Amino acid sequence: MRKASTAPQWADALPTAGSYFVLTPTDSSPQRLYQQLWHSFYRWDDVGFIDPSDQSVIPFLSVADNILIDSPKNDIVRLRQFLFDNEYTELNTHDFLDKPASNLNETERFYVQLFRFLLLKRHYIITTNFLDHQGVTTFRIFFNLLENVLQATGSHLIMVTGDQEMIDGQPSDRILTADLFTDHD
Amino acid sequence: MLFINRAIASLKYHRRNSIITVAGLATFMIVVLALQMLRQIESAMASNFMTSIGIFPKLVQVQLKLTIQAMQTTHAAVLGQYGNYATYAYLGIFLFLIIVNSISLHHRQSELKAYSATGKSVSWISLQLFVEYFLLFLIAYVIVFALGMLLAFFGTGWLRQLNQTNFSNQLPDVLNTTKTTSFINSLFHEQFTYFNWKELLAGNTVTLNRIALFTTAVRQSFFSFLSIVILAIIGSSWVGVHVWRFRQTR
Repeated sequence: MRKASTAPQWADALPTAGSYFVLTPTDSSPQRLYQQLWHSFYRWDDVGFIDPSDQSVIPFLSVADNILIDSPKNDIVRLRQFLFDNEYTELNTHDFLDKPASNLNETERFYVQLFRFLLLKRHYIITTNFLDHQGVTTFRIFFNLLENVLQATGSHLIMVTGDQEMIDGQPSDRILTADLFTDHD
Repeated sequence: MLFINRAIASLKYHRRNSIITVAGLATFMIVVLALQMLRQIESAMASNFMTSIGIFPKLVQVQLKLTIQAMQTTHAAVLGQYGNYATYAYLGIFLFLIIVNSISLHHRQSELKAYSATGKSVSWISLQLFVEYFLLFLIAYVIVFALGMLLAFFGTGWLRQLNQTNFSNQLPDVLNTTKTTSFINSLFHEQFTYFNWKELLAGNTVTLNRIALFTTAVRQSFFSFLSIVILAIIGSSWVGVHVWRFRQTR
């Protein structure tokens, strides 16, 4: 597949690394907007799309081997250390990396894909409401934790959401409109 | 992780696919091996017939001209037939691998997604799949090697009989004219050869070197098998992954 190398115009609107939110317009759903974004930008090689409903894993390898196929060893060591330091309740961090990827739940699949794109140093990572069923508290813990990582790697996590509550506490420069993406295809 | 580690893990995980592939490959390959042995037996008999005929005086050879021609044509026809069957068997291996690989790719879309997400190229994915099928091919070949050895050492009699039946089915009736038969009878009545006519026709005078029979067949087929596996798997993977990506983006 030939990939476009030039960045889309909306990339200029996100100067600082961190997490961003796109509120879905009322006539659309987060899933639909996410699909639209995928169709418009999947060719760009600096973007990663996280879809936890998607089985994007190799079932006969461990999670660690799945995160980066052919990964350099020290990347996984660093990730292991990171998970160990920030014991995040969602993942049973001590065996998460070593268990086989054959039966992961949606949350675990999300992390596999997220860590994969972070280690691959994709600067733009687009996803949709994956933590909807887990409530806003879990979500805040996660985003606070993630913010540092995103700053360190210079990545932008762009989250398509239909949940007003999620956006409420966020600074205004982190909230994007759907028009930003759909206007410049 | 190396290609080979992933391949071994994959073969264990997709066990049913591995077993089907090994069984199918082994079946086709033993057929090819048997056909090659038949070819060798047949050509040994053809050349033996001509040398045996050479023992007779020129006059007898002229008398037997029609018979000799019929024998030669039939030998050539049978050899060609074995060659054709071998070609069909090779084609069978090729199509079998393409079908198996396409079906298995259909069941392995999550793996394709993971490979694509980590930025692996289509060539890389094809190579990964080829390593898997190469290991299966080696396993199948070990089985075929053992079966071929058994066939060469214990089944040669059966192969000869098969060849003989096939040969006499194709031999034209020219030998059964009364004139020829009486001439041949008178010829062998005098018993100046160490064989009789029936034995000559049946090729019973040929001694076969079973080790040479086996090693030649193996030597002639290994690289043909390998190149067919390379072509079929790399080709169908490359096309298959492209088609999958195209359908993803529609």
